[in-house]
Amino acid sequence: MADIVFDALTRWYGDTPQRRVLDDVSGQIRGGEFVVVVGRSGSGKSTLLNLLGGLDLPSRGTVRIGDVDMATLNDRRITELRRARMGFIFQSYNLIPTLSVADNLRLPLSLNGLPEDNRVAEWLDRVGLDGRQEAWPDQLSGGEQQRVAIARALIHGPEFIFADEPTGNLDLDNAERVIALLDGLCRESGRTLIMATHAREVVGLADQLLTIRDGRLVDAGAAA
Amino acid sequence: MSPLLGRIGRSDLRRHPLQTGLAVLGVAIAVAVVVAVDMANHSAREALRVSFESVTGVATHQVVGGPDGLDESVYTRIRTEIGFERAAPVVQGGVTVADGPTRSLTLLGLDAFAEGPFQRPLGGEGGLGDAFNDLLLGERSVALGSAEAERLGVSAGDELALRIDGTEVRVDVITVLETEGEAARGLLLADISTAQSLLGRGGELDRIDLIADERQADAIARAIGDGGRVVPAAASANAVFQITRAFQINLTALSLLAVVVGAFLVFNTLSFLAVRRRSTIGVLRSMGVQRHEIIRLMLMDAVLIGALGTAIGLALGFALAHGLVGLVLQTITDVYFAQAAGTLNPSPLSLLAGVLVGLGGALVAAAAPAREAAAIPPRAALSRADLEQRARRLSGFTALAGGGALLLGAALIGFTQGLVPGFAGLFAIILGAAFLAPLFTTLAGTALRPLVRGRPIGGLVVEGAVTSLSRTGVAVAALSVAVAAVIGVSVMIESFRESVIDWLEGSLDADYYVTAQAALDDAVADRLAAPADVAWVSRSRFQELLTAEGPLDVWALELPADQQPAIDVRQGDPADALQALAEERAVLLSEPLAARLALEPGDRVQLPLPDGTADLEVAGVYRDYGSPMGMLLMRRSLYQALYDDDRLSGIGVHVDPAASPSASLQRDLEAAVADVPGAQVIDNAAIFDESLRIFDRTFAITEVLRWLAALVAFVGVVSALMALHLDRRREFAVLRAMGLGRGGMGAVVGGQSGLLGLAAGLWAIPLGLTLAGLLVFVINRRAFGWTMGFELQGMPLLEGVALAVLAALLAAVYPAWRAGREPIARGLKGE
Repeated sequence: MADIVFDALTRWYGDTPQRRVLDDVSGQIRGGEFVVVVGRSGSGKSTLLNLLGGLDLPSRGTVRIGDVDMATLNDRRITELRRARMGFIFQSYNLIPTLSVADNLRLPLSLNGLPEDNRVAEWLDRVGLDGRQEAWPDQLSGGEQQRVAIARALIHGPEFIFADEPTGNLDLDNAERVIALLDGLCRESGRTLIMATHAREVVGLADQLLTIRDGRLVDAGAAA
Repeated sequence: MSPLLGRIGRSDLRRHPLQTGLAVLGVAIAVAVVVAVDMANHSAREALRVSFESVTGVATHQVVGGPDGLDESVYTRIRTEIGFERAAPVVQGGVTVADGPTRSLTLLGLDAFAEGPFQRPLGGEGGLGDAFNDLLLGERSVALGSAEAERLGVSAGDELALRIDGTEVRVDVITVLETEGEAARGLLLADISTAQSLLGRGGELDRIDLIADERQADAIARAIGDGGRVVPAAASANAVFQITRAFQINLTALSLLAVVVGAFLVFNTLSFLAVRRRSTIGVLRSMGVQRHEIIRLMLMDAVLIGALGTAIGLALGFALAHGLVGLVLQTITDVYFAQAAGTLNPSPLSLLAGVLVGLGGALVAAAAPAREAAAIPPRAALSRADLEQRARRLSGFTALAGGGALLLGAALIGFTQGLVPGFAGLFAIILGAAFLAPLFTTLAGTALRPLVRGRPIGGLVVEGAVTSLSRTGVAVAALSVAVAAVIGVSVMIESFRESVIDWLEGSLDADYYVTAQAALDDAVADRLAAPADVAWVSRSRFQELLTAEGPLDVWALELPADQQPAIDVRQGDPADALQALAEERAVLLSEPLAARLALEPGDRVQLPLPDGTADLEVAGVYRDYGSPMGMLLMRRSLYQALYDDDRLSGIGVHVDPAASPSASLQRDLEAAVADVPGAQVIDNAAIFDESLRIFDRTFAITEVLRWLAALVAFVGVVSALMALHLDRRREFAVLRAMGLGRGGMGAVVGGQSGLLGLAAGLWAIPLGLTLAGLLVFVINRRAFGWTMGFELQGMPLLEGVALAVLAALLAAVYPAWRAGREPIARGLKGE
């Protein structure tokens, strides 16, 4: 698994460089690590995740994934990289509402030209939703939707998983289940998991903790 | 592209059947209007062509004479002295059916022995078969085409009662010939000598048709010398086609207005689809779907909507065309006096036009929303705030584009002369104003904000109406364009109508008009001038002269020395022009004729004479709405000197100002013309009323098309506003959770919609007035040569604003009802 190295990442919006959402953030994430990015709401954690995952472009600074400098890639190449090597999990699940559960899982396979084999059924079983292939997203609870989202993010075997506040809309029980599921699935396959959260109970599971405050990285290191 | 991506789009459209259905309906109506107008125009052109070909066959040239036609000896010379065989004599005249409803027919007298090469639907020895001899020998024998016989309810062997020059004549239908379609519609065929006898044209011909190349035609012209003139056979047809073409371009332009509004509708629907799918697009982009795949996804939706709408529209258009063709042909007959009877003649090209408009329009309309959806970075697609910021930035660009389009339109109109560039300029101005509509909405909202400060509900109404710029802008633009068209065409029609009324009141200065089927003469005029209450009479001769450029209508007028013609001279000094007319130094042209011949005061016009041409100065151009072909006015004495024709076509009777028109005077006048076959004494009020009735009937089709364009916009705005409000379910749920009741919900939703409708209606006023001005001062001028006044009335403006507000309020009914009744918890979830 490749490492992610980011250097002096800075992001501002519009013509106001003095109002930086992220300011001069540098660090390294080793392949296979579980990294948690913590900070209050509005601290810049989601922005950091978006920059590392190629969902947004930095105003300044670099991101390297392995030996690939993201700044040298055009949109098409970044998209190809996301397609093949990354999976995303969002706070509001973001399942495709007009596709069934099974089709939501088939989509990343189809995009990558991978055969379905029995993967859809297997992954639904792994996230505890066996038999729900033909359900629609709006027929699932929040926890169930997030579990489908996890399966969708992992089914095509990406190296990197980016999870932005995956438990933000869940109750405590569901949140714990989702975190445990995600951690377990990533560790068993050696995937790199980068999670932004303001829930400090997740900290204990992480290999590395990045603390963001007012857009700056105030602490980075092994989780206590 | 993954097939699952296509399924996302189709599933999304199925899940919103009302909005999808409205988009499809909008496309269908736009396609239907285009197809119907094109088919009606095509049918009208075909009807005219068949009508002309029924009479001229494949003749290339015609030998014509003066007002009395040709001496038949000219034909003998062509056949024997010159030895040219492909020549056929023709006598032709108008008759009416005496029994039952009045129906005008053309009695066509042909020489069956000479008809062979001319391929007229009736005629020729082979076509007539065994009946040929009966037709030749019978003094009153006629033949008809099968379609005409069916219309008249006659068959071979029956008698048919006709009225010719006021006299009733019975003819024998000797045979009914099988004809295709509308060929030979309105024609009665007779042997040429029979026709000469029936029409009182002994020894005369109307023309001699030729099939000749230019060299042969020139040789014949030289050989016959003063005996006649050789003109192209298509001259008359071409002149009518040219004039009716302008009318048809107007219809097509109106139908294209429906297309423009329909395109806005598709644009709006697909823009809304893109907005609604922003988060889905963001997820797809985060999963690695490329931009071009997003574009393809959007375009596939557009193709689906366009294809469904086109299929329905083609069927609707075919049905609508059946109704429109009657209106078009009636107008052509009313206004252009051309025999344009016929039925719907479907054209594959019309259907192809519909497909291009529906599918092509949908794809074009989808291009911008698709590109914009694909160009947004994945992060921004997950944030609505950025959407609105982007929309506001884009509103600056669209405002610039709007300004550019306005300038382009103004340049096209200012620096070109043709009708098509005029319409192109008009459409550019429409588009420019449409692009500026969102900016107007924003400014209107800014102006209203101080009024609702401190009033939360009022603030909700105002802010809700203007802050969702990403979705309200296009709806406002589409509605304002359609309402502007309603206003603009209404004001134009009113202006035209007032001008026609002014013209009628000015030109119908006689108290009575006397006409007859047979020619009148000075003796009749003297008898009409005899009653004590009659101050004076005007004497007019109307004659159609055939020229190489088409027919030229001449009006020869005689007035007492102290009277001037009741005409409104618009070009040239009126006093000088009338003086030159009175002194026989010059002629006057009506506006349409001056436009057709591209002549102005000071130019010279050539008139064909029996023995050459006359070269006359044009002293002025006058306003005349009576004839789209145009009229040349000269003194009767000059006409008599040129053409040796003393007959009269009409007499105007002017009552002494001290007396007044009365029933007894009318009886005296009728008695004075009792011995003139078919003579009628008509008071000017009857002519006034009939003229306005024809005017109103002429614009019936314009009214239909105008309201069809408005219907498309109505459907569009209902769709757009409904989508807008349905997308705000979470917002509405929050309001209801805070305690806003159903009535308050209705007021908020209705208020937002009503404000948008009002903005569209108000913006439509200056646009509509601009359209009206362009139609009055540019389009009508270029199309028909007519000038007219500009009559601004308040009712069309009020109607337009009311239409816009009504459409917007109707759009709010369902969302308001739903917002008031949906379970609040579900609405808060946004499910």
